[in-house]
Parts: sequence; C-alpha cells; structure tokens
Amino acid sequence: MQHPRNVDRRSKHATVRKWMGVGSSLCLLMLLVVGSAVAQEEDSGQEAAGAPSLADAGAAAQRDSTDHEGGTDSQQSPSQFQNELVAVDLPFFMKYENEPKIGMRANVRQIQTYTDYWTKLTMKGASSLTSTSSWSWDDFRQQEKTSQKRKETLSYNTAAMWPAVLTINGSWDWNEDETLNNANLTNIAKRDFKLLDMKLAKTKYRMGGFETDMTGLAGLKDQKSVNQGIHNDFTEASVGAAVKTRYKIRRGLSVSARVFGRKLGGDRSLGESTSPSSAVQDSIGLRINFDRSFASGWFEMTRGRFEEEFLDFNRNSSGLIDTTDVDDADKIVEEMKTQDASILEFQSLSRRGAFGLKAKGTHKTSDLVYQASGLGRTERSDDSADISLFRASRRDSIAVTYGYGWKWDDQRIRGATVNRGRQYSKDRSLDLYWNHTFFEATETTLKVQQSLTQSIAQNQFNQNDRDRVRQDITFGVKRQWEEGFLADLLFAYKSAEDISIHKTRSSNNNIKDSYEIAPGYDWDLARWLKLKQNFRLYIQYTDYTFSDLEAVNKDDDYNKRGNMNTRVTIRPTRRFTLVVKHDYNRRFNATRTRVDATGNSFYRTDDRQTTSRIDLSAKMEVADGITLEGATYNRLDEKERLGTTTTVTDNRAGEVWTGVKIVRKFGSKTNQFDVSCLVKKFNAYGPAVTKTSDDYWEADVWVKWKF
Amino acid sequence: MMPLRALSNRFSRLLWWGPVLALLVGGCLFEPRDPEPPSTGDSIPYLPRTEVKNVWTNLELALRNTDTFGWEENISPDFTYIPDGDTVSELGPIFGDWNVERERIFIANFFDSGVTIEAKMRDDEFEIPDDGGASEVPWEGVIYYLEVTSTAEGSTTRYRCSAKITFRLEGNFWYVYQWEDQTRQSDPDNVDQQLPSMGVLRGNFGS
Repeated sequence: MQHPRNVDRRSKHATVRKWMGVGSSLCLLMLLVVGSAVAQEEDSGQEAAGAPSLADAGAAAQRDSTDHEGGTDSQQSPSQFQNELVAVDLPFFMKYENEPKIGMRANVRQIQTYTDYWTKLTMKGASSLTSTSSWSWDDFRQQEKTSQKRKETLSYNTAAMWPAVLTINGSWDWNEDETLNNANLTNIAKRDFKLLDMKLAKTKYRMGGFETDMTGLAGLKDQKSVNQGIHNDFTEASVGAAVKTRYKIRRGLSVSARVFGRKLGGDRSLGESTSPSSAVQDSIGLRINFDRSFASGWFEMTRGRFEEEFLDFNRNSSGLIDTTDVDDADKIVEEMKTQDASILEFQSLSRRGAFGLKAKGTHKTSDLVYQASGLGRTERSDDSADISLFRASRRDSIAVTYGYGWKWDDQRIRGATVNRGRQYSKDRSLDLYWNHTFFEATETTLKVQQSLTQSIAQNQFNQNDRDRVRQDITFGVKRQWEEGFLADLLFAYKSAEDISIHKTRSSNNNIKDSYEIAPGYDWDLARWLKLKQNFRLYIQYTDYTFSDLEAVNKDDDYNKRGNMNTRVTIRPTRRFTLVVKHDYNRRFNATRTRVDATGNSFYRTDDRQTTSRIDLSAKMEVADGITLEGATYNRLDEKERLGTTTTVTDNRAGEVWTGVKIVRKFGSKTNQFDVSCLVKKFNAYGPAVTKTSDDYWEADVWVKWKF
Repeated sequence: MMPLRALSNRFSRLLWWGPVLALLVGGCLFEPRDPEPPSTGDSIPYLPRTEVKNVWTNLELALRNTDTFGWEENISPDFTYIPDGDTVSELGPIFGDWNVERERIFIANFFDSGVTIEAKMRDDEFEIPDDGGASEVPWEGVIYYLEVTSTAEGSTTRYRCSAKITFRLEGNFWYVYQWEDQTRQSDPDNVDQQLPSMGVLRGNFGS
C-alpha cells in the first residue's frame, strides 16, 4: 500500500491526463456521429430535390398511399414533409407546462412531508426540456431515524429537430439520514451525487444494403458521501460508442453484428486513501435471424470484457469486508477486477396449424479475477435449455415443457495453489398444462409439474450436497351458471422431498405430502346483494426418511386445517356499500405414535386451534368526490394444547378505523387545481398489536396545480 | 404425402398421451440420489412451525448448521426483504425486488461458501409477542447477532442489527413473510463501533 500523499500527487497528474483524453475522445466521437448524420441528411436532401415540392407534398402523400401499399423507401416520407411544412410556421418554443405539488403521507411506518415541482418546455420538432425538483422529509415511527432527500433532474431531447437524436439527462441527488441505535450511537449517512449523461443516436442509417444504428455516449459522475464516518467519494467521466448493423441476405434470413466500447476514468477516495480509477468495457456480438416457412428464431453469439481499477476495502475469500486485525494501511486496497464473458443463445418457434414447438438454449461462461481481494479467481459456466410442445385452440389447449439447467462455478482463492472445487447445480423440470371445455361455460384445467434440483460440490465442501424433488398436480373446474352463479372446485396434491446427501446432514431428510380440496361459489342473489363462500381443507403429512433409526430424534407428523370464508356485499343504494365477512378456521397438529402390522398409522393430537373473525366495513359517498369509510373486525382465538396437562387459552383481538376521502378538481384542463385528501384513524387491540400500531393515523393529502 | 389433417390428428393423439408420457419419463429423469445414512443421529432439532417463535429459532438453527433446507423451509413464498438505510448507502439500490427466489440464491451461496456461523437471533431483552389468533405477527426491534468465520483463511466478520420481522400464517404453518433491517447496532465489545446488518451478506451472496 502506498502512502496516501504520494498516491494523491500521482493521481492529480493522472487525472489531468485522463480528463484531457476523455474530453478529446468525447469531442471526436460527437463530431463523428454528427458528421455521419449530417452526411446522411445531405444525401436525403439530394433525394428530396428530385421529389415533389413541399407545396405538393399533400398530393404526393395521397398518391403514395394509393400507389404503394408498402410505403416508400425514400429517407423522408410525404408525411414527414407535411410535418416540416407545419413546423416552419410554428414558433420555436411551443408549450410550457408547470405542475407544483405539496403533500403529506403518514402510515404505521413513517410520516413523510414532500414537495414536487415539474416543468416541461416543448419546442419545435417535438423536442423537449423536462425538469423536476423534489424534496422530502421522513420521520420513521418504528425506529430512531429521520431522512431528508432532495432531487433535481433535467432531461432534454432533440427528437426530430436534428437528423440525429441528442438526449441529455442530468440529475442531482442529495440525502442525509440520521439514525440512533440502541447504544445511543448516532450515524449520519450523507450522499451528494451528480450525474450527467449524454447520448447521440442515429438509427436506421442505410448504406449499401446495410442498416446501421450508431450511438455515442458520454457521462460524468460525481459523488461525495460519508457513512459510518468513512468517506466514499469519486469523480469519473466516461465515453463510449455502440454500432449495430444489419444485413438482409435474402427474404427471411438476415445477419446483424454489434460492437460496444466504453472507457471510464477519474479519481476515487475511500477512507483516507485516494487513487485514480478506471474501467474499460467492450463487447462484440453476432446474430443470425431466420423467419422461414418451417420456423422462425435466431442464433446469437456475444463476447465481452470488463476491466476495472478502483479502491476497495480488504475482502476475504467470501468477498466480505474484513478489516478485523488488519493494519490501517491495509484496510483499503487498490483493486483490479477483470471479467471475460461469452454467451451463445438460440431460440426458435415452429408452428403447424394449432400445433407448435418452441425451443430455447443458452450457454454462458465467465472468468472473474480480483487481484487484491481474497476472492481470487472464479470461473463460471451456465447451460440451460427449454423445449415446449403445444397445441392451442379455443376449447382444448395443451402444452408440455421440458426444462434443463446445468451450471457450475469454481474458485481459486487468492494465494491458493489449487482450485476450491466445482460446485454444480443441475435442474430438470417437466410441466404439463391442459385446458379443456367439456360443456358450455365449464372450464377444466390440469397442471402437472415435476422437478429435480441437485447441488453437488467437489472436495471438502460437499457436506452441503442436496437434492430436491417436487411433484405438483392441480386440477380445477369452473362453471358459470345462469342467474349470476359461478362455482369452482380445486384439488391439489403436492409432494416435496428434501434430501441432504452427506451423512452429517441426512438425519433431517423428509418427504412432505400435502392434499388440498377447495370448493367455492359466487352468487349474485340480487342487484344489491352478493354472496361469496369458499371452503378449504388442507392436510400435510411429514415423513422423516430416517425416523425408524433409534438415534434419529424425529417423529412423523400431520397437520390439518379447515377454513370457511363467507363474504356478503350489500349495496342498497349507489352511494352506500356494506361488506360483512366471516372467517372460520380450525386446525389440528398430530404426531405419529405407532404403525401396526398392517401398515396403519396412529397419531396423537398435540394441539387444536379455532379462530373465528368477523369483519364489517362500510363506505358512503356523501357528495361528489367525498367518501366516508369505516371498518372494524373482531377475532376470537381458542387454543388447546393437549398433553399430560391440557391447557386452553383464549385471545381476543380487534381493530376499528374510520376515514374520509375527498377528491376535488377546480378550473379548466390547462389551469387545473387538484385536491386529494385521504385520512384514516386506526385503533387496535390484541396480543400481536405493538406500541406503534395500536393507535395511529394513515393519511395521504396533497394539492397540485397544473398550469 | 400425408394429408395435413391426418398429421394433425396423429400429433393430437401424441399430445393426449402427454400426461402419461410425462409421468413415465418423469420417474426416470427425476430420480434423486440416495443419501448416506446419518452418521451420529444428531439431527438438527428444528421446532414445529406452528408457533412464531419456533420459526425464528429454526432460522438460528439453520445458520448454525449452515443448512439450506432449514432456512428455506421457514421463509414464506411471498417473502420480501427491506435493507437498512446504511446498507443501501454502501451497496446501492440492489435490493429493489428482493423475493424468495433471491433469498434462496443468497442462502445457498452463503452456506456453500465455506463458512461456519455462530448466531444469536434475538437479544435477551426482547419480549416475544403473543401470536394467538393473528394471521400476521410483527416482531419490532429484535436484535440479531452473527459471527461468520471463513474456513479457508480463518477470518471472522460480524453482523448486528435491529430488525422488524413480520411472520405470517400460511396454511398450517408460520413463515417469515417480511424482514426489514432497521438500525445497525453496536459491537457488544465496543459500543463506538457499529456492525453491519445481514443486508451486507445478502448483497454479497445474493446479487
């Protein structure tokens, strides 16, 4: 580690050099993109010279629309001529809009006061300048924390004003959070971040059968921040370019290539250290698109590299910041990170009438190296494939999908002579979806899913080796009867087997089988009265794989739960709605005590629980834009624990809230004043109610003026 | 050449056999490995998830034994994680859509990274709320403490934070539904030193 003063001096020279380099590159790039765009503009102008005069553009447009169905190949269509004709007569500044807003929000978590000011200046050629200024203050109710935020944004785009589109985005974020922990230690986290991004893009530039998109990028970032007393500051500029070109080989076959490059340079300070920072990123890609009678799809290859030099905390082999027992001089290191990655992707879709076959495959590799961190070098590989066979029609649809995934990573910890060993993850899944209409207005759905996920590690880390098998079968029927009666039935079976392979973990292996049956209906008894009722029975059995071994302290068990939910909606007038709900739950938990000679299992009930809850809510619109609301619930919970001594506990809980909602608009569309006010008061009691949630206000109040 | 209708009928029949084929083929392709019989018989003493406090204890047991299944079994399918503000300041906005899938990736990578863990998931002063009758129970201000030692190099990192944990009853069992890290707490041996939250671990292994 170098002395910070030396690093400082060296960094100043390096920064000046980098800024000069970045500035000149930026200018060169902008000139290049504008130059090519202007060159194309001149070409278009020559083409346009042979075209009808602007005054005849309307007639030309009409002629074109009747003569050519596929449009025209010329750079400027007649409609564009028309736009320009209109634009000539319009002023440069066309429209200026303002929208100030002030408001307050409150809920159980925090109270927030905020202001926003939004403006938009629309100019000739649909170019625009948009800015927002916002400020907010948050006071957190459940912790000793306050937060103040300010944000300014500015966005400008030239739209159709120039031959190439220039977009400039700027933002300035400032925030200060103050927290007090249980030991009365205050931390102030401050951040002041400025960002300026510029993008100059020219799309669909045609030359010699090639269609090209060109983009130039430039950016500037500046951050001053402090958290836990540690400064983390940087000033960095970046410049980049992207070119994408496409060539149509023949009908239904095209090839496209893309190149992207970006360079970043600047200074970073972390703690007491300062050092130059830099990053270089590039990628290249090739894609072949096909759209033939038998199939459509694409094949793509991408290769990229990323190299970054920056200041970082000392990190251990897991990547965690580790500054314990480390000399102050070594707590912060000059890090260099490089990553190489490549991706191969394929996707296709074949269709014959109602039938289809969809295939997708991906192969990804990457190599990530840290020079200073204990993480060292990590290689990764990730392969995946999905094949789906389907038939789609109005009455009968079916799809079978097979998914496959295989990935691994391997790490060589910094300073080690051998790799840690590959850690594999293998996934397979088979999905079946079937939807069929047996009778009119009766829909049946079947979903079957089976999957296997395996985690396999080499060498000494394989104590975490595990397999997981899942089987899900869900069957549902839904029928819409006349007179507003909808009935549905759901049956589901799920099986989950978690298997730890290693002998140190396998004692907890288990299989969970669950069954669920849930019938229900919705019934519109009258225009003002609706009834909805659902019943759900759910049973889960847990069998521990090695519970027969005497030394394994695990008992198989089962859990059963029944729910009955009823909801009645009464709407006697257009302005008044009353909802009454009742939820009834009953639950048993039991442990298997023995299995007889014929294989029958016997269980001992451990506990029973019954919960009954009634909800009542009412809403009344007393005048246009003014609504009064209120709700309450009451719940009774009876718990019975069975054992040598049976204990019974009763708990009651409830809540009541009342509120008002006012939404009013004044003025015209171009000069409008909006008021929105939602205020609710909550009072609650019960065992799970905390100090912050037993008595609080919920509010969302704001006023907005648009002019 | 076979007429298109006949071809279509054959294809249709093949698809009708899909469920049968799926089950038959499934039996072969989805055969798991045979586990080794337990060596000591000391199984991890997980508690039934019919009570909220058991779920939290189970997470502690899963950490101490670096048992992925044990952790996953106590996490709701609708799980969400909200990091503390200091972690977001350090790691940036990487937690936006933290769900059960990301939690599974995190815990598998964390436990497979070659670490041993000492965990105490609630401080002695924490009073456990009653869960009777509720379908959702929040634990506010529970302070957890973890010591993570890398087996490769023996280095230890520590984590301590107060959190709001919301448990939810789903079907027959309780699960951790939402985990909100709130305030980083001081090192028990040095109150002037704040320790990071598990958000740092989630950011490191789950992103």
